[in-house]
Amino acid sequence: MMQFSGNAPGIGGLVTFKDSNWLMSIVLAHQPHFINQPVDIQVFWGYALFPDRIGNFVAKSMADCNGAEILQELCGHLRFDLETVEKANCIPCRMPYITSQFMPRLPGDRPLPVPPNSKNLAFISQFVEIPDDVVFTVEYSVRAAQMAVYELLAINWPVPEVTPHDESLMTRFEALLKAFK
Amino acid sequence: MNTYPKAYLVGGGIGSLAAAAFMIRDGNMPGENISILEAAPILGGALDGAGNPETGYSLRGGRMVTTDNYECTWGLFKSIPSLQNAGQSVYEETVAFNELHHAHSMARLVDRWRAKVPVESMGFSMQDRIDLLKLSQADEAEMGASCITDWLSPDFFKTEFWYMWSTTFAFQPWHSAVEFKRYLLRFMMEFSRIETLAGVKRTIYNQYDSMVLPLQTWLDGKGVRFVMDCTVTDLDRREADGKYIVTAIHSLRSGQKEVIAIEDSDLVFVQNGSMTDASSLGSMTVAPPN
Repeated sequence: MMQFSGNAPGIGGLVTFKDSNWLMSIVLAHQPHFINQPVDIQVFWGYALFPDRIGNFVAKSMADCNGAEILQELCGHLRFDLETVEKANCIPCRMPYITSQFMPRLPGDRPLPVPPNSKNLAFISQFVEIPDDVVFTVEYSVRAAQMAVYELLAINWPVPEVTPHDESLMTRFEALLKAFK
Repeated sequence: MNTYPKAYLVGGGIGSLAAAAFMIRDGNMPGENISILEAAPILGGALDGAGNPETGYSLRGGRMVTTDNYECTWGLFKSIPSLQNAGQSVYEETVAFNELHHAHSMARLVDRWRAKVPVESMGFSMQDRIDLLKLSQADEAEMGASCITDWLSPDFFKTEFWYMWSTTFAFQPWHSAVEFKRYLLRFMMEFSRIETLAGVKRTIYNQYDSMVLPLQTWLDGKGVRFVMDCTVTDLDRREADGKYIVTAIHSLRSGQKEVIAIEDSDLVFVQNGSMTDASSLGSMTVAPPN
């Protein structure tokens, strides 16, 4: 992979197979990726956005595949021989609600961290309403926690603002240039 | 017996761990007054990562972080000591790690011929630019429950930009236009460097080892009670002066029914939903169960 991508693990981030039926991506993180990981073991992960579609190199939906079949599909896209992954152990993981927080919603569908009529109950999760901040981030949960705690404990310090990068002229200018490249 | 209220956190994800830390650090709550109730045998929720060389490793994805945003997260982790680097906070060790390992992707998109796709250009048509500008200026109230596809033409979803942006953040065309717009604004700095992911910072190890473990260790040292194998099944409430007040938490603790009485001055924090709900693991020979 280093030879193919030109990136050492931890530098390249995401590699996406844009024409793959499953829309597969893999991430080769800096090694070791686990505190207890021995030096002779390497770990990487990947994901797909369309796991219900039939693969390009495996005639099954990803959701119906075991680890060996997923590695076969990946090797197909990379044109790697299957011997490359002979000793690999691929653990497939199904996550049916992993992007549920991105689903269309109306104002009022999600509670505020502390609903206006609550005395001692707060909500903290990816499913609360926080102005301007974005879900599917660690930040969203931590921000909800800070807002809820400061309000219920009547702590008078401000919760850090969402930095308005989009109002910075330089950032806007660079984004504009990028959009015209 | 101290006079502080008690706090109960339903769910052991990062939100509850963070709330416990804010109560202790900024609210002077004694740690022993705080209980985290978690159904699983492990804390961290979606921020997981575990394994060994024999049975393999698993983790539900890897969180990308940035230091240009994430104001609350780093504000918290500036106070949490690193487990690996004595004298450093988790924030300091993460910044130092990222200074040594600058993200710079050279193979962001690969096509059906296994060729690296040139990604200097976003691939926009003039119509795409106009549509994007309109979407980024739109009012959330007017956008309502519209989808991304309501704002952009079918050709937009074939641009290099869409392939990079959607797979970086896991957006689908049918997702919320409001959320897509918020992402464009919140991560506008990433827009200019999306092809190399140069703005993305990583934790040293997976998110469990690098974020959950140090936070949990710090909370443990403060006396916070971690109640595992505890499934909360219901909350009792009453109403007074137009306010809802939680009066009891019902739970199944190691299979036994248990009721925790809640005083008016006590606090209850509920994690109302989980993106890793119903997730399951398979193996080399078995697909993950439905």
